[in-house]
Amino acid sequence: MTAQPVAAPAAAARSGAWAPPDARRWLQLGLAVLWVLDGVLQYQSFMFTKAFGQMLAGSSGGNPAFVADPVRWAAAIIAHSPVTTNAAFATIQLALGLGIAWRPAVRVALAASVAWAVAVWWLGEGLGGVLSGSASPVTGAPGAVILYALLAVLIWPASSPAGPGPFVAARPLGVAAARSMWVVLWGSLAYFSVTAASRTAQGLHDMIAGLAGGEPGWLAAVDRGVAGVLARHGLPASIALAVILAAIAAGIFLPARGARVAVALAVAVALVIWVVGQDLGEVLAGNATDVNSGPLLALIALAYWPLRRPVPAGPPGRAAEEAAS
Amino acid sequence: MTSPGWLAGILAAVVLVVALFSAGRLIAARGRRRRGEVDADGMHVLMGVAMAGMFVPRLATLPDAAWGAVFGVGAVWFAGRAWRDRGGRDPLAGRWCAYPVPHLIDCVAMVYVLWAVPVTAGGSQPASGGGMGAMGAAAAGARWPVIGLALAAGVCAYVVWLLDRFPASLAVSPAPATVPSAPPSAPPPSAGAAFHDRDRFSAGFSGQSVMIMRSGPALLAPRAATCCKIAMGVAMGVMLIDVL
Repeated sequence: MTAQPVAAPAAAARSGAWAPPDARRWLQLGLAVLWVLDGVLQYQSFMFTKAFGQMLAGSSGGNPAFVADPVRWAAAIIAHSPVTTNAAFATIQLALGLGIAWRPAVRVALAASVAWAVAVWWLGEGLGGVLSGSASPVTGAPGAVILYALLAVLIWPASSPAGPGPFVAARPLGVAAARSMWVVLWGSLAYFSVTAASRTAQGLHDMIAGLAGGEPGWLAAVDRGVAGVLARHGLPASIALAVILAAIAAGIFLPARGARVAVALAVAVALVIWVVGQDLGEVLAGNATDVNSGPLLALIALAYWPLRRPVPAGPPGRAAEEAAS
Repeated sequence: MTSPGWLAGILAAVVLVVALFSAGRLIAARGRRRRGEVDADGMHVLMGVAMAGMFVPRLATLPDAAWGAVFGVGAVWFAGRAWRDRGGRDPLAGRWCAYPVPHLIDCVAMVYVLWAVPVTAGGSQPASGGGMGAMGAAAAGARWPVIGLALAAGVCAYVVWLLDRFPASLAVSPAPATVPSAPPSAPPPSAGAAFHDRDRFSAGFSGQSVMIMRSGPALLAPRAATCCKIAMGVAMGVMLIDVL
């Protein structure tokens, strides 16, 4: 039997057949993998105990009442019925991932993921410590879960009326709005890296050294080694990190080649922070509810990777695909 | 075990249903002269039985060493299939599964779970088989947990990959976007053949807009088989993360 290479993705989309993923679809699939992984993590034994609710209650500390009170209320409910509530949470997160992965459900699932992420950010993470002064990009500021919502918006399957953009995130929002979100994200990370909690002489040392407990030997050794280097050098290290993050924030306005460098730097910083500052989300320690912010920041950065060609404005095939999804 | 018993029971039931379906598919494909995925279906039968014993120790059937040997052989088989298939051509693809790598990951994951759960002082794995049945011991930490995390991520990615290709409708599949040069003897494309079938969708992995129509019987129950793979993947992901 011979093959005839005559079909194109657009034609496949028009006919309703499966079309290979484009850049935005790959990012959606990446987000779906993280949601599925989150759902699986939520099924861990630890999450079905009262300790999970107590862990959530801990995020209320230092927050104003409009944040702390709802967090304590939600934590009390979870602590009262940990099995039921956690089973629901795990199933919801799993369903979000599966929904994003299944093309006909992608819009509904992305919208639901935004709502879920915002609710968890408020009720479960206490707004990621943003208002309590404890937020640091090294430990996951501004809260991993809100990054799920941001990424869902950036890769929303719609095209801006302004036409194709130079990167994936510009398609639903337009270039200016997408770049504004980039600046807000990376600029806020730069700010959080020099807040009072981060810039003390032992601030970064204590954050990283505190992660070693419960981790495998090699990761604990990495923590101890990095913490040793940062001991009593918290201020210069925080300033250096802030400068890098600010450069990333500004780099999105550079021409394509410079923007690629900024995005690549953002991915690299996200992955370094994920390994060194977040211990792979502390998944290996057995009590992580998600993979923390590192992979999310990397995926968000990739949504800004300058494309060699403008993204198609929406030929019939693409429009049909989007309508179907 | 701190995880609710009903969760382990549900997961055990799910993987047993997958095993039953796979066994039925093996038999039906032969009887109805449709194409199955002999190696993948056979491995799912074994995997379902083994995993059920891991989730619910009362359902354990064979010793861990025996299961380890079974899945070790399976891993070697699928690794060989993947190696032969590296150029995109596999003369065996008509009888065997089209994508051996995910099944290789599944087999390696099974071997990992059997190996990674620490042996208790008594010399045996707790709850006779590791997995969720051994979650009390898992608190002590599995060996090389980063491998387990990588396998769990791979399994989750496979689930997502399968769903991305899952058709939107259970109605008759759309007409292909290409005109196959099928000989008159070739059967017409069926709903089954149009989905999750390397014969038709090899383009999805090469990034090229190429579709290939291969002669031969249509794949049997591809949608149900994919649902089983998704269910098995989720169950395996839960098990892998739980033993870390």
